[in-house]
Amino acid sequence: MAYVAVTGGREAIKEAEKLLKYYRCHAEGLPIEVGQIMQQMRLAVDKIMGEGSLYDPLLAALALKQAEGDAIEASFLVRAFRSTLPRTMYSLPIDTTGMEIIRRVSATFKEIPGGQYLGPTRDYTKRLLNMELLEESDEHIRDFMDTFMTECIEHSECDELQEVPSFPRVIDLLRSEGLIAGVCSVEPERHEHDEVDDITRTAMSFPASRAVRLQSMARGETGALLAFAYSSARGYGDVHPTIGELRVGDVPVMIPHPLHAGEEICIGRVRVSEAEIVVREDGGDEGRNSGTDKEPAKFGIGYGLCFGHNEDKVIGMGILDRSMKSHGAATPAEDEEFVLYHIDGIESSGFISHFKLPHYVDFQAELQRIRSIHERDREAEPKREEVKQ
Amino acid sequence: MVDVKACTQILSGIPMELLTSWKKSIECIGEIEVIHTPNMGLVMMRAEESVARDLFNVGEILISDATVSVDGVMGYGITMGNSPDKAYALALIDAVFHADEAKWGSVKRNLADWLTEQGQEQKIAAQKRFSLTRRTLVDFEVMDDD
Repeated sequence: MAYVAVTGGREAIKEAEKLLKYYRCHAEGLPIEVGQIMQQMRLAVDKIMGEGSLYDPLLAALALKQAEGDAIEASFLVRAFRSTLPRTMYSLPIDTTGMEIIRRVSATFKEIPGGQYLGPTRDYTKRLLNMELLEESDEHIRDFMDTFMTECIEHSECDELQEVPSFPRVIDLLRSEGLIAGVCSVEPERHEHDEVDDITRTAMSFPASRAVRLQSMARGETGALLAFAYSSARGYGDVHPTIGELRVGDVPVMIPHPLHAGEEICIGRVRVSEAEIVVREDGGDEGRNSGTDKEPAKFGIGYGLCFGHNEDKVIGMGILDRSMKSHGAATPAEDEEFVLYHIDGIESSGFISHFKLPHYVDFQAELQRIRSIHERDREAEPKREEVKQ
Repeated sequence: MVDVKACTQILSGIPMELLTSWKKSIECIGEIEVIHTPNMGLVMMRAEESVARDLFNVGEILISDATVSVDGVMGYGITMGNSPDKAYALALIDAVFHADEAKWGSVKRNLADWLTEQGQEQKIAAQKRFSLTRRTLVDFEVMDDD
């Protein structure tokens, strides 16, 4: 069977494009400003930057406007834009221990060095629609801001402004007791031209390196990561996660100076979410003292990090990072090929969308085949009757 | 010797409007040649996993960068987003950071003083931002049995 090019529909396509714009614009009211989307839809903007794999809040907000709120379409626009630009260089690894945090929680220990900060979260609020937002005005926003900032200023006047702390990792508490598996105890030697597998340069192959797995998940679709991670934690897998630490905040991004060796340049600050998932790893239940050759039981760490404020994504990423390390994949979430080939929202959406395009030739062939089977059956029916009699 | 890392950490948080006067004064004093006009590009951001310390690529950041020569001294400027003017201004400043000629002495000193002030303002702004987060610090209380 061959593909057959078809023509026609050009005018219909042009008109469909105009109609699309009409549907976005026809309602009364002012157009939404990209700046408003960037400020007031920050979580959607962050998700698009992560899944589009391009950090630029303005372009992500623009894409969201153009796509009428369709997050996958917006990510597609962003990733397509990204493909038109040259890559200047790789950054030095970001240092998340120096993060200016807006949120930091742990589910492993109540008292963690530096404390737990809930930050901007809906985790502890009732999921009730706030009908007041239907009537929200500039005045309401100003009133809230004035009251809130007055409270904050009064509070900060009592306590002098304090240094912004940096926070040690919660898992260091476990590391200090020798309870973490796979710890790199020496400072790794890093060189500017160190090769790190990059799925934007080389297609994925299996078994995949940790770098490939983490990169692929960092640009993966939140819903897909969530679904696979949920399947693993709910029963189709062996990972029973506890969140060692979840932190969200801003980190500086440094690059090596391209003209003056040995110097570093800061290009700006990027908001990231980071999760460390603690999972018990099998060993001899009682450890070496049990008289077996098995390693003592330890904790493994699953790691998640992505652009923007996206907690579900990094937690899912951490769970899957751990589940894909399981020996002999017995469940979908443990099968790295299954997971990594199906978490990219743009690829999966593109593939599913292509079914909307004409498949006339394929379908005609199927139709012909089914018709011929029916024809053959009809012809064979009298003969079968004869045989029965 | 200028601490380029510390200076660019401050410069990256300064809006272009505040860099305009530095750009103009460097253009007045030095002979400028644009080696690489300001353009958009990408920097792939890398991260290091926290236990095995594996490196991986997180995603790309939209940047603008430029390369200039000021009196024969090369300078490179880079900033996040589509900001060609800022990339150009930063490239001029970078060239001045690396210039040894005496005529740049006072510019360098003034720039260093100004960056110290700006750094202090940024530090206070960060402290104010964090004071909002600090209000959400959890104070755990152990519940009694009775």
